[in-house]
Amino acid sequence: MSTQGNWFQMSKGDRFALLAILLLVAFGFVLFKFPSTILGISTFGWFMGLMMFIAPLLSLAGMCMDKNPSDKTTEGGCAR
Amino acid sequence: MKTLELAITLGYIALCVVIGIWVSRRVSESSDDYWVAGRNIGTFTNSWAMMAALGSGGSVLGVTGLAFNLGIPYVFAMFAGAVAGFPLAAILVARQLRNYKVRTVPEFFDFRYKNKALNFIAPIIILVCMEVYIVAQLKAAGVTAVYLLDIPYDTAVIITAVVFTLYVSIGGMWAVTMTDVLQGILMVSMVVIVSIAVFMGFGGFSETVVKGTEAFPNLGMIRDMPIISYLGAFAVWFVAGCTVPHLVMRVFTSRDANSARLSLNYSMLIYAVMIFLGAIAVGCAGRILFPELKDADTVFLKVMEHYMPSRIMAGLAVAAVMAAVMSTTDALILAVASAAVNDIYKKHINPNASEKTIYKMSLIMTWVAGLLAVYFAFNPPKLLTMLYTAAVGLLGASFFAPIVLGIWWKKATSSGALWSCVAGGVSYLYLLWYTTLPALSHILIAIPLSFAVHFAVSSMTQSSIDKAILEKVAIGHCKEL
Repeated sequence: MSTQGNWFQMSKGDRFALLAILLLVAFGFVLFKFPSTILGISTFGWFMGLMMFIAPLLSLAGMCMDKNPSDKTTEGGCAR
Repeated sequence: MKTLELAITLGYIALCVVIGIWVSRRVSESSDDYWVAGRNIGTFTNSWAMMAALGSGGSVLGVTGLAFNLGIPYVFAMFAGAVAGFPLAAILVARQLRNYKVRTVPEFFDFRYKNKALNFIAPIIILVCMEVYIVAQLKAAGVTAVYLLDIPYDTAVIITAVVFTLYVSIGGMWAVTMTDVLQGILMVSMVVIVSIAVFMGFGGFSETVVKGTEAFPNLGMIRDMPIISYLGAFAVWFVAGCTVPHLVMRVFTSRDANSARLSLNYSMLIYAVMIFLGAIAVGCAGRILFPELKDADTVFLKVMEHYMPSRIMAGLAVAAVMAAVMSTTDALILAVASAAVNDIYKKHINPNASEKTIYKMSLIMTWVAGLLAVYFAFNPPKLLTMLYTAAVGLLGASFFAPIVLGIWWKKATSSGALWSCVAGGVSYLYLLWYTTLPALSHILIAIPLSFAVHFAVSSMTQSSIDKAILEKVAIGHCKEL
């Protein structure tokens, strides 16, 4: 665990998953302004529906990334 | 009275009590066994238990009713927040909270901040918010029983409350977990079966959606509400996975940190299937078959009755709604009892209490919390949905910044946490009661304010940082303490 800086270090996989989830949420709310629909439901609605599946899958993908043996850090950003 | 349906429901309820008695053998008068199931719950079990704890009566009756009333996009925005909130908890708090070996949110505050005022305020907030949540669940149970079983509202409330209080008091978190697995499977199965029946009835998924949105175009449209209402609905539930005690306590029960994180994600994949199918199938079918329905919360029951005329299926459906109610309420009641006993009685009233005394107090407080909930559920406030959502929002506004910064920010101080909690909670309540901001948008101001106060006060009180605590916080990022 790094003792430098004001923040505890986050693992690469967690950083990826957190950033991806936040970016997708932001993108989803950008769709709020677009009136297009698919099968009568707004694209915003469909995207939020898909987010329910994408968010946990992204977090699981982040956990898998942290299990990569070539990484210098393990889950939690701790030294191997 | 519908005898067959009632018999099936009572049979199911009896099964829950039997499970509670069966698992009570594992509770060895140790508070770790009672509160966190000996920290020995595996990934499969915990995934279903987490899903069931989140999937309340609101998730079955409320989601479909909300889709019917406010449209599918609004429901998906709100529940995408809840679902994305669990992966957020997996990333931000699950590993560390599990590794610190605490049992409740206030216990984490004590471990991290050691602030007497915060130690007192946090459990009080939990007690109030969780009790409101329980009353809302009991009302859902009462409404369902009146509708499908023809039994009086008060009787249904008493039966439901006595049953879950009985098995929680006997088996603690072990009973909550094991019954939640059963309840989660029943709940998801019923929603999926009803959804498939609806899709088959209309000739497929796409056909159902098209017919539903043709019958009522607003079903698929973004309503005439400001974007901050949608953002607020998302945000209230996005932070809930990190802050709402009955959900966070499931992290403490996990076998290890990795299992806690896996469970959080797997549980939400199961939950997503239920919400996605339920909102679309029942929302569309409801608008096609019952366009004039006045009480939107009964749309699931109406659609279920239409597609599942069998009395056995009707009995199972009532059991499924009861399961949804009980699986959340049992976890809530344990959270209330833990706040009262672990965080108030043991910390402030009788610090030298033995494990046996704590265990006895836990039993007493579980019954007190259950009976209080029954009392309030007899005459529930009219704006119950608003109160219940406000309760979840208050927990998020008060606790999100102190928890997340306590785990990740080395400069977070005890005073910073206290004032952050107070600023978040007070500003949230002020905005809720004294302003005309759009529904659910209050948290969008309260949480940033809570973070800002934490940063500002902590920066001014740096001399109070305890290096030994910080070292433990650092270790918890890597391994169990």
